[in-house]
Amino acid sequence: MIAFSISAGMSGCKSKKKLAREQAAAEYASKVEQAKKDLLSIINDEGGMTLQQKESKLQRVKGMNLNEPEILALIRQAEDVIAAEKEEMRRKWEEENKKKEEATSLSLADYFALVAGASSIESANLKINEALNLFAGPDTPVLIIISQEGDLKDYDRPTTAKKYLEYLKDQKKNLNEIDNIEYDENGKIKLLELIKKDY
Amino acid sequence: MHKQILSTAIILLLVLSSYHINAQNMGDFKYDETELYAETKQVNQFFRRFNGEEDKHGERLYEKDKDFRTYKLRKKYVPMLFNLESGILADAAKEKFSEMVLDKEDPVYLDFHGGAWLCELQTIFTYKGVEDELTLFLVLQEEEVGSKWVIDGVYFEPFHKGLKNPDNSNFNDRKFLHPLSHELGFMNIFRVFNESDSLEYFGHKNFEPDYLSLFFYEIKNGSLRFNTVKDLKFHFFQIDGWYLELTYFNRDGLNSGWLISNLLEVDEKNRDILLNYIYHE
Amino acid sequence: MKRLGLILFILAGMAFGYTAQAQTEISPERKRAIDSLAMEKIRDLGKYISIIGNKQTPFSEAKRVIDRTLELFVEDAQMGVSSLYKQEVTYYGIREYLERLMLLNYDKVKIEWFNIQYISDLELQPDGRYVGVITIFQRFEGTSDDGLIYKDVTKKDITVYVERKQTQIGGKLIGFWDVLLGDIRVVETTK
Repeated sequence: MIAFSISAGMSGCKSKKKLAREQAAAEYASKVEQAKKDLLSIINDEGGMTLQQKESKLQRVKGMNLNEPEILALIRQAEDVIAAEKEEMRRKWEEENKKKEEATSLSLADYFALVAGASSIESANLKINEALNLFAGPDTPVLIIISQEGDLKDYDRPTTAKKYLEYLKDQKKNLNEIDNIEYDENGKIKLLELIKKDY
Repeated sequence: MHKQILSTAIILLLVLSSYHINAQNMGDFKYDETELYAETKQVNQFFRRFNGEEDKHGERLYEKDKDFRTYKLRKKYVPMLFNLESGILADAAKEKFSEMVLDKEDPVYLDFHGGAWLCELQTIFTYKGVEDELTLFLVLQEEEVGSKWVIDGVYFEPFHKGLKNPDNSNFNDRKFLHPLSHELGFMNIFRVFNESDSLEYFGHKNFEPDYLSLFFYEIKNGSLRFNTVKDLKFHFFQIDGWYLELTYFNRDGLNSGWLISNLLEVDEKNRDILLNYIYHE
Repeated sequence: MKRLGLILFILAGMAFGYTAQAQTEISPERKRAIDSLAMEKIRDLGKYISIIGNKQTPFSEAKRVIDRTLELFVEDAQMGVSSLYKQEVTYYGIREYLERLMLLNYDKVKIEWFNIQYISDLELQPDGRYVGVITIFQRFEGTSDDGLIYKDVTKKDITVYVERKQTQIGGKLIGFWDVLLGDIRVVETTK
């Protein structure tokens, strides 16, 4: 900066216009340099930035409207990197959800077996209370499919989570398989569909 | 006859022991259930065994099943449906009946909804403070939707004693309102109501007491009160030319449950006589 | 003639019988599923009865199970009991019967059901419900505290009502078979 002003002052023959032009060019060059840096940081990031940070950086660079081929190429690369990361996130989220569902239904089936096979009324009641934590409430509807012909399903009279668990305790038999579970926003079971095993 | 019981019993035993009875999930109960399988446990089962509509395990057969209503299946079961410890079931009648019913060209089946069969139910009622037996006759009536049992008749001795079916067969020359009673404004009618014993003779010639109306009336006015049911049997007139009586035999052995306790060959005239006899008319 | 009524029945019944059967058929497959469901309820009843009759069952549990048992039945279902010595039927409400069972004065009670059941065809009633009868055999053994054993084998004919119903669950309409038990006839057998 000092060099500029000294040289500008010493060679008074350089016109003001030329000075301004040189200044603008320098500013532009530094902008481009910065944009390049930013884009490269997005492209080469190894977990230092969040997706949101990357996206805002990219937006800022795009907003500068730098019509440089190198920049445009880097922008495209950065967009690809961000898209790939988004895809990865979505996949992970789906997998986790699936795992969560599997984890719950496995546990639920476990609980059914435990309650039906309990050695005493007290231990059965303990397991029933634990199992009820998986449900939205003790009155969560439980449906049991007794026969299925294509899309037409025949059910037994609908019951509730609590009643069904007590039924397992009383009858000491576990004859139904889990067919479908519906969750609410809190991850609790809001509807359970069972199907008779030996149909 | 003894020989026949023995041979049929052997057949029964062979039929029933020709499969394995698993002691399954109703506890670890290992009691001989052969007799329970053999028993004709429901009237419904009598129909199905007679018609060849269930297999030896008691499982229902349908039209698409290969053994449904086959001669082979019925030949095995129909003989088992008679009370084999009976003194009154004539072998000749049983044979003729079985042959007709199992005829290969023209087999005869019983139809639950086919009408022409009735139930005779023994009940206990209290009539004016006195406990007594009362017989009800019921038939299965088809409705627009489904079917139901209805009361078709009643036999109750106090009713019969109190209200007679007048015997108008003989020339009655003593109890009558003379042909010119009308000229005196029927003042002589007081004699009718003085002699309650012969009241029925003053009804028209086709008068027959309707004991069912009497039954309903006496219940409604509180004179007649239901206590309980006791016993029942069935009378079948559905098979042309034949009468069957069906009774429940509560006993040990392989020949028990709902069995044919009586079998008669009847023509139309005899059928009417028999019906009147059953209804106590 | 008086018995004309019955004769007309004979003729009309034959005509009626044919059409009535045509309109009331439940397919064999569906019947099998319903039979299975009804038999399940009967087995449930048997288990509940064992729990109620068992002297080891705590009073509060037995009372809870009585309530659950009653949920299997229609309102005002009756037990009609007769014995080998007394053919006349004595009537008990189901709750009364179960409470008596709970209070039986035996030291030990063993109730077992034979592994045999007979299921009748389902017949249509005028109110649109189907009715059936399931026959089972029960062995009862009661030991009093002085060692005396009472045993009996009873035949139980159990009325079963089956009705197709619909209800809203979680926003969707589901169709279910409502199976309820009705009157039970109990006959002591010689077996």
